[in-house]
Amino acid sequence: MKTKQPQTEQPSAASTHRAVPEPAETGWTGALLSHDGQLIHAARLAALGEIAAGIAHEMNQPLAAIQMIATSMLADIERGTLPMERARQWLGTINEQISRLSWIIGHLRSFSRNEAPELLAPSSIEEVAENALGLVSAQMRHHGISIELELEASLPSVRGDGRRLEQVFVNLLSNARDALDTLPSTSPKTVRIRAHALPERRLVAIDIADNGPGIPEKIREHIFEPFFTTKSAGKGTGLGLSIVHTIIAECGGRIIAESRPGAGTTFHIELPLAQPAHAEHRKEPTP
Amino acid sequence: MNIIIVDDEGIVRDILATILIDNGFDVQTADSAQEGLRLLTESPADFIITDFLMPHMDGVELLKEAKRTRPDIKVILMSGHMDLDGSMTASAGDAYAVLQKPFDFRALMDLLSAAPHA
Repeated sequence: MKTKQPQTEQPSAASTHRAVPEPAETGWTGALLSHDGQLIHAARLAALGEIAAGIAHEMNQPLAAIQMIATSMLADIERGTLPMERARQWLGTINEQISRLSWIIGHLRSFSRNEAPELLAPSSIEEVAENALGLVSAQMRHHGISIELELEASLPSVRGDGRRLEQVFVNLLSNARDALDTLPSTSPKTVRIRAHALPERRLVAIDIADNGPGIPEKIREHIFEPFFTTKSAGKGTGLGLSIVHTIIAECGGRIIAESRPGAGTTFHIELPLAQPAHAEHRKEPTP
Repeated sequence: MNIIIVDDEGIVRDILATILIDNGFDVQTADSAQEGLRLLTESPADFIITDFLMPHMDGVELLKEAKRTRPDIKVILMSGHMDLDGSMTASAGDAYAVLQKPFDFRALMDLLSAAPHA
């Protein structure tokens, strides 16, 4: 892929672009969340609830494929018209679809598990992004949203718990979906995920951008506060972005939001590279 | 019998097409409602088999547009269990049939065989 010029500084302070202040600047501290793994886990389950219909749809596709093949094979066998080559092909396809189902189920189990986070562990952003997209891509597709993923080749590992970083991606993608849903159905709706390394600063920079309506200026500085929400009652916990902020801070990273009314929102994330000891540990061959 | 399959989910679309071709049907495939409508203008299709939930234009909108240009076209909607609420079921009233995914392929064959021009 083409590597774009790294964005190492905040966006220029044009009046229509505004970085969200750090919580310390707003008087809010992340104390409520930062030491409460239970709350983060509860929010993860809530996020899962919001995308459950999309996951069910995603699982229904391989099931539909398998049943179509199985019942077609039964009909062919009853008629005595099933060539061996076709049978072999169909069984291979069934096997692939079972693997697809198995991945989704295994991943759901992993994502929803409540385990102590490994905050210093090395995590692959590529893996984190792919896992998150495995959960939300069907729903995004059915909301008419296309996702562009542009990750620099051989991104180094970052420091942070992979499951929690995945929660960051799921939350930001769900936010983007809700924002894009307010656009007319005929409008193109896109989410772009980009990541590149900044080795001189020992970090990986990630942008998650949508072309939605943007965040109104009057609420922009509150979006990372807990329980702040613009969504209707019963939709969302109001914790999504505050948990995103907390998780990124736990990793020693930072996140800012850049938004311009009518021109979308971009969340800029910076995550420190994994400690060399951890990175080296990862490379050790399995005995 | 000519059939257009419309589904944004490639694996379902391709499997259904292969099975129908194996069973002697002429099949064209589209990955969007718009592409399905374009094929309809070019082909003497008897049936459209379409997924219900698709981006940009869903199966019911496709059904309405197809019926507007080709009133004789028969449309079978395929739907996941979670896709249809009451209003959607009502608006699917002009459909020849609604199949809940996953479905038994033999049920689809029965529908196609029972069609007046089969």
